[in-house]
Amino acid sequence: MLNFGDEFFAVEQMTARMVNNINGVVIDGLSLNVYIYVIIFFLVISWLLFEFYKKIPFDFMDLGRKTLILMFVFWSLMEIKSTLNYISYAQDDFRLFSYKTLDQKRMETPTEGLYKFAKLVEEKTPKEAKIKFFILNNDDFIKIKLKYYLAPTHFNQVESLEAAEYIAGYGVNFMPKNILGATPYGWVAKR
Amino acid sequence: MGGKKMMILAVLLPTVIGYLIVCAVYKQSISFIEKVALGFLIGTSFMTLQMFVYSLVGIKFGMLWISLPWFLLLPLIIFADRKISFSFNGWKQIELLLLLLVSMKVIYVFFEALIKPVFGYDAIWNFSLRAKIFFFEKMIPFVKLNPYFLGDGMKNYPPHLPLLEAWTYITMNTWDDVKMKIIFPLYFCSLLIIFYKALLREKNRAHSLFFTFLLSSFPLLTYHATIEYADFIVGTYFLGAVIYLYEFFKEGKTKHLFISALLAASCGWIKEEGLVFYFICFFVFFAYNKFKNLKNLGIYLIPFFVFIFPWTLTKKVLGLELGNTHETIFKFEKLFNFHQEAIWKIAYKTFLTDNWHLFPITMIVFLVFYYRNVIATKKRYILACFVLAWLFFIYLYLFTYNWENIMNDIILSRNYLTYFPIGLFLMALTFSFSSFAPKNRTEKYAK
Repeated sequence: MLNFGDEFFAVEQMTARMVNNINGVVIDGLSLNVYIYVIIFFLVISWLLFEFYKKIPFDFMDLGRKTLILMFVFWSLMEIKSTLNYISYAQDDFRLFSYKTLDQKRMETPTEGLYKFAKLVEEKTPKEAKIKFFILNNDDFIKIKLKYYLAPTHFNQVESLEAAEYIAGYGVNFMPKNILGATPYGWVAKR
Repeated sequence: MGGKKMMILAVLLPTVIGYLIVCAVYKQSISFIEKVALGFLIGTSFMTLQMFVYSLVGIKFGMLWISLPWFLLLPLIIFADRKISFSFNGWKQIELLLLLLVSMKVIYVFFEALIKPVFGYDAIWNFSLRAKIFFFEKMIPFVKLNPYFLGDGMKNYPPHLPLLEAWTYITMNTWDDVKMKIIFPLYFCSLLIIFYKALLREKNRAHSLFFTFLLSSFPLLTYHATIEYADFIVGTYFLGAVIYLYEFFKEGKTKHLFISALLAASCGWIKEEGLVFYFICFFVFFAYNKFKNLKNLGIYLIPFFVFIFPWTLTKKVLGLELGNTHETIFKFEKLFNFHQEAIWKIAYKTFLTDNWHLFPITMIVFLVFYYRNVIATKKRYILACFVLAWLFFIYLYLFTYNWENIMNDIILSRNYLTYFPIGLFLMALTFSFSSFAPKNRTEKYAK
């Protein structure tokens, strides 16, 4: 029972994957929805048996109405759990983002240190400079986010090393000797 | 003026534009708050369309240049509401409680949206990168050799949302991707208001508020209202289009048809699949109207040529395709391969996750018990819209390359955002808590 309570009240962490899926409560490997479906099913069956016992004539529409009311009740109860999640998210985000400047807020978004790195690139390279980026795992998301932060002044990202005037690395485990600047997560150098 | 004031001005101007248009159409026959909600939807569509046209003819974006032409709408102020009154007199405790619950959700959505900047993958790639470039370039770059061609990112997506985001930057005169996000909670509010007001035309206040509460309780909808994706926005327009189409079927008044057509066509101006939603609405309207009333047919077709056709033509001219840039859905050999692997995944994600609380299973139970009630009335047209949207996505999931996106958890639940509100609307409209038939309600009551 303690396990049930723990799993029920555990806050589902807010992640980027939430954009397409919110798992919800999972208890002993089963979705909370399964438990609710079973409870509703047995309540409806019990109700039918009760009416049969009391010799109340069967009414198809009335059964539907009652089943739906039951579902709405459980649906509303599920919202209590969601509300606990929202309170937790609001607290976390308030702690992380409130009373901060726009730049500081951007620094707090996922992909650690990327905004600071983008600022370094902006600072150390001239506008329209041709830059070759070396990115951790060649991650598309980081590339896109970098473009977003660097647009429109430092938008000239080149694929080949030969075409580059500058090179910059984020999250990679190598660093040239003559760097122009560095953050804990990245560096910028002249090619 | 301060950033916050300019942020409010950024959303106020399109809302006023839309409000005046809606006032001219509806006069006093719908409530002020419904006109404002509709006004925000319609006003933003028109304003971004204007920015698109400016880019085509080479006029640079500027707050004054964008705002100025809309002063021509000022005479429409004669149709605006003279008296706006609101009172909680006569509200029952349960109604106040439901309103409080919905309001708390709205406050949460505003808080979450306005405390952090843009950071999602698609949010950046599809919309916000382009918005930033449109803002700094002061137009949509249409030249292919330009490194900022169409704002980079997902070039073939309709530019409504990037342009709207750019508009907020232009008004604030800075790239502030925190304050810009006010547009998303406002779309959320519009969705709730339109849903509630449409229900109130046929149901009592407690019933309408309860189902609005259920709508606001969708966890994935709540999450999307705080981030920068277009799925729930296109869903808001689609719901609006279906609601006013249903009003047209009920009353036969062309004002409803006109608003429905504007909203349906706006779907295609927001997302690519929005084109399908327009055609679904058109198809359902056509099934009702056929060639009986050519004027009404024209009313439904004209917004297509205003909102969808120019962008489609531009894409054609620029050599962009429909669908993902890497994999077009128009590769014929990829259109009819059945992928049964996705079925279990779809069922699992639909029924055993918490994206929708209990909506999917409730919708099935509802249809089992209430199908005949729905089919016997004009609500069958709402059901038709819902089923056609469902069939469209099921086809995409099971017969096209999109099955891989299902398996990788990239799509599905967020597609539901586009048409699940319609299902809930149908349910709310048909279901009755009481076992007795409710009395007919009047339009006057709904004001």
